[in-house]
Amino acid sequence: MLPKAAWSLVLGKGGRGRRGMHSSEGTARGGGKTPRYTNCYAQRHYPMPEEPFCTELNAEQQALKEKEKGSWTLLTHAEKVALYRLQFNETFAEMNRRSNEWKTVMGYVFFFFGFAALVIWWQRVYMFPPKPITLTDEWKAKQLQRMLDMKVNPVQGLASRWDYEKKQWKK
Amino acid sequence: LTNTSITDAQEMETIWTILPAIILISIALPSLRILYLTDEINDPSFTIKSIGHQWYWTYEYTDYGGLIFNSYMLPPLFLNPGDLRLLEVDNRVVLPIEAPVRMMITSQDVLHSWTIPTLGLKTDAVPGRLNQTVFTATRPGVYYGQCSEICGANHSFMPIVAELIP
Repeated sequence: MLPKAAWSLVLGKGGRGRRGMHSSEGTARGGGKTPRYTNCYAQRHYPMPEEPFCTELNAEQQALKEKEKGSWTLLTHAEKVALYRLQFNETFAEMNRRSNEWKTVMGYVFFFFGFAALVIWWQRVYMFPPKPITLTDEWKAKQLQRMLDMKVNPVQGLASRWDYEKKQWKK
Repeated sequence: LTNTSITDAQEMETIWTILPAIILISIALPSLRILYLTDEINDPSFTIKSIGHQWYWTYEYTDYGGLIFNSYMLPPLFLNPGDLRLLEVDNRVVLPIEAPVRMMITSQDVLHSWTIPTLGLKTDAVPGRLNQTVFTATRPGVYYGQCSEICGANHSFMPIVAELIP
């Protein structure tokens, strides 16, 4: 009964919702840069807006505002909630709610991974020149044999790891 | 910053500028002398000139007669099996081991750098200037290096190969 009356203050005419009552003042920033929000919307980085959320109050709401000027202990819980809803568009819990945006972002990221992979594959097939002859296995084997014969880096490097007596790599 | 007891200290400021300058100069001059003293004394028995061009090296052996030749990189098609791509040249610099060798390095067009890392050599080839490096190799073999100063399109394709023979 009374809570319903209090809620009807918030919902205004026939459940049109809070949005129908918000202030349509100029778009002076509350603290953010986006022009979507006016200075009566609370945002996470600016939780105390300058203007109250609802400024066009109907008679019931004005009566409640008058009652607010008295002692607050006389307000019922529902009236307090109604006053909060008049002042702010969302509670902290609602304002800080999570969203599913991360799924969208990850979707885009993986999509571009796949696109990049496609581009790389296409490049390998159609654009890259043939590999030089020096990268074939037999050439590399002959090269290695030549380097060992030359005793390249005999102190700490390649030739130092080859056992010349046993003709194998040192264990 | 405008307190009268911290302005107008010209005498003090002069002293604490001049005195550290004197101290630093007195540290620097002996230090420079020691720096030049640590330079090794060698008596090279052999002098070779190495001239960098875009994009090859020219070596001149003019101590006993005149031998001048160019050293170009071997293209991959010209390699023998087992050769090192981008490192082999047609004419190597042949040097003796266990003899101090003086390399005089310069360039004819742009900056290059004559390098053989395993012998600990790197000297810039500056056009209009003659740089000197002296070394004594102890092991025979073939030593590779690559031009180490950006010099144009084929900077990566002008290697240096030294063949040290006993």
